[in-house]
Amino acid sequence: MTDPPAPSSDAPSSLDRAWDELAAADAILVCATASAERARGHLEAAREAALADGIDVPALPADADRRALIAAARELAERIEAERRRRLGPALVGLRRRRVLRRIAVFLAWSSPILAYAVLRPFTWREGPWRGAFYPAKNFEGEPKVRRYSDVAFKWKEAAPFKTFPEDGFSARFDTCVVLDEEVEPVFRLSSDDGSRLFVDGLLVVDNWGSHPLRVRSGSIALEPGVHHLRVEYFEHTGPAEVELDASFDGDRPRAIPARILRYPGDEPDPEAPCAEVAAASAD
Amino acid sequence: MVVAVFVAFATFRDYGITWDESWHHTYGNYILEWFRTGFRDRSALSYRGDYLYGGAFDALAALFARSVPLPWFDAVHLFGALVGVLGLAATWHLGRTLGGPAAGFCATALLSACSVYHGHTFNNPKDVPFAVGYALAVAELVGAVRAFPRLDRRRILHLGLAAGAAMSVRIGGMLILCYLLAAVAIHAALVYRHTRHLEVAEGIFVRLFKAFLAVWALGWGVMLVFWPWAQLDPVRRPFFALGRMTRFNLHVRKMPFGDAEIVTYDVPWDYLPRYFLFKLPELLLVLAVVGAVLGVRKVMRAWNDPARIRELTAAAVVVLAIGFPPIWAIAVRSTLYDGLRHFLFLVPMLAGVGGWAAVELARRLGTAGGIPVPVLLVVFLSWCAREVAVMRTLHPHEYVYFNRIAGGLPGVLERYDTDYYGNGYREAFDALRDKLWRTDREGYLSRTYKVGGCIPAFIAREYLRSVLVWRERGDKAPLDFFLGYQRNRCFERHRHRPVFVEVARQGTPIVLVRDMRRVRNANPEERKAGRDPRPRPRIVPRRGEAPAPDATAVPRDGKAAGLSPRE
Repeated sequence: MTDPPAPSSDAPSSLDRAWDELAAADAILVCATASAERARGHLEAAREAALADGIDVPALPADADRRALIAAARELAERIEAERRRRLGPALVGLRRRRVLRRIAVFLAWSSPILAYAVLRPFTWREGPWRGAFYPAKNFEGEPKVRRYSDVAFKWKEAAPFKTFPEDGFSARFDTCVVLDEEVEPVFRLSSDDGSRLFVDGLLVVDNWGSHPLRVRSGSIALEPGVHHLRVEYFEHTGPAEVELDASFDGDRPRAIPARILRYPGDEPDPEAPCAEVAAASAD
Repeated sequence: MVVAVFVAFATFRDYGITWDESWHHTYGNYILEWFRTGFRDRSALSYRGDYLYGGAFDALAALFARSVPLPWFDAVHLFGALVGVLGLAATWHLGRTLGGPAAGFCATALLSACSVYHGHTFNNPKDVPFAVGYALAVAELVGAVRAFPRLDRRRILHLGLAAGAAMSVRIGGMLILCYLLAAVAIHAALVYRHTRHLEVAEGIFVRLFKAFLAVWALGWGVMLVFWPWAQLDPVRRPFFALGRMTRFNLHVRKMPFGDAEIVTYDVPWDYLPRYFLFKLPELLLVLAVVGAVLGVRKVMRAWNDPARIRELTAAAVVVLAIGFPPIWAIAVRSTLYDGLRHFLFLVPMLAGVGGWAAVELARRLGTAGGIPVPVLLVVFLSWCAREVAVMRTLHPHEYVYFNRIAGGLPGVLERYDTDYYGNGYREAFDALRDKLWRTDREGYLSRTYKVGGCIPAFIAREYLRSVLVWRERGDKAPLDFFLGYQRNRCFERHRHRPVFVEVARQGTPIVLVRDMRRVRNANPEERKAGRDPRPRPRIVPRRGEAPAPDATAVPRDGKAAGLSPRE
């Protein structure tokens, strides 16, 4: 019992340990006794006490050497220990239950920050709000591969976005819906190699189109509160491929548009009104 | 510890990518591929020197990063921070084992207020996980020694898992098994000393040796789970790796050390002691020393008491766990660099001993000195709070901490390694973009800026959005900005170029961003006018080299971008 201030719910394990220690101490005591006679005498006394207590223990072997006495001492201790556990069983069950409950409470205390984080930062844990449709030709033709992304920031270098795509001569269209609570005039910064352009509600705001190395173009537009559709179109002609959109909604430097103001337009948005569903959901 | 979890979640995005991280995360992915492809993808068997390390942390971090929708390195930093919190729990366990619940609390508080440990938890993929495994294993070992000569299955299981966890990060964790074997031998020897019966001591030794074999087998198995290279020859290869690690001599370079400049493979004997003296909070140092003194007194009193054999054995284990690694490193003149980073696993040990010492000291001062324990507790916690306040001023570069004995961070500039791991670059890139946005908005919205610095290109690219473009090797285009940190005196390069952005803590630069645009096309007068007006940091003369007569005359190095320091 090395931990007296421990709560009572820890008692079962502490008792177990204490009995373990006592059993070991018995064995050591016998081992450390100077003569075999004294060891035998000690064990006989312990055995009689156990028998008087109603614990069934075997008789000591006659003419036992020191090793046999050690084994007998260990067996005696284990029998006594087992009987103690059996008798205290019902009381220990209650204590063990309290210990389990305490552990569950500690686990909840530990996990609550994680749960809180997951609740407070929901968009971090969801799939991205950008719908990316990739075409194996540079004029948006062919069967598109559709994926969700958290951001438009791609650097494919000399490679293709998918193994089945050509390294050169592919195109992509990225759509999302931005939900604004107040009127703002965001600044958009679009860089790409090769061409790219940004449409806001169908209006061309940044034109970085054409075959060229990495180039940056910017633009801004006043936006009313409500839902607005953003579309980035991109094509790769030859050489390295990359495209990136940054925006500043609050006068701070342009960064990736925060996911908290973006909504996914759906896997198959209406071509005429891609954000209609999002607008309806926002109105509700 | 709940507070530590909150702090981890609130700050994990602030930390930069350190030199080792990319390698370890690639290795972790290779290990996952080893399993995913049914052992056909053999990349993990020969990847750099990493195949010589167990990859438990790397593989689990990669698994975590694949599972959560966070950017890769942010996810890994969060995972590392949570492992660091596990280290706090391990230290609590150690302190509690040594001196009860109060000691466990004090040990946790001491480690929580230790800047070096906290700073490393987020982005150190090997030293911190190893420290956690080591602390856990030593705590279990001390608990096991307390139960000698009986080791039940639960203890064997716990000890085997903890030792395996340490070995699965670094093969040096095998020390735990050596300590266990030493504890068995010491215990048997002490029993013999008191009983004078050889058969009794022999019986105890044989019994405990069987338990040791069980721990060894279990730990070995755990170690192998995430170590593909060792799985192919599980008996010999771990020992081969151990041999290679003890002769580790990579990363040969010069580094400042006080008033001298030394090389990594020829460090003076006081390299480690001095870093421990300067990098740990003073309270932790004081309590560790007090713990050592009290420990010696306890050992002397227990020496002739047969009832305190286990106490003596436990003390021997703690002394071995703390003393053996550094003494061995000093004795064999190991290659050392980055301060105490490779010996970070001793910090939780010292915190555990410090926690025990704090409780012992409080008890003695309370009974003999008449000082109420609550008063002592307030003093202790106030000191910890003060350390946390210092950590806050350093955030997110907590590991560059130096204590007041060394004069704080200003006192060690150019004299000791500070940001050896490149954590400051993340903030430097962010600050550079912020300043460009404030001062050159038109350029920011219409062009890119070419940057270079003493940082591997594959890490630099993680920080770049399109506004900054990394100058690749062989690219002759002029730089717009150069980012230099302290290691290899990188921030002294291009000294005649003005400092555009400074990442500093406690008034001491960590990363300097130099503007290469203004003077590129300037005439000599303008170039002189654009020179950095601040006094040049003192240059430490190299061995056998006279100090420069005019320290401001010549930049030490014209090398620019694309330099990729190993590690």
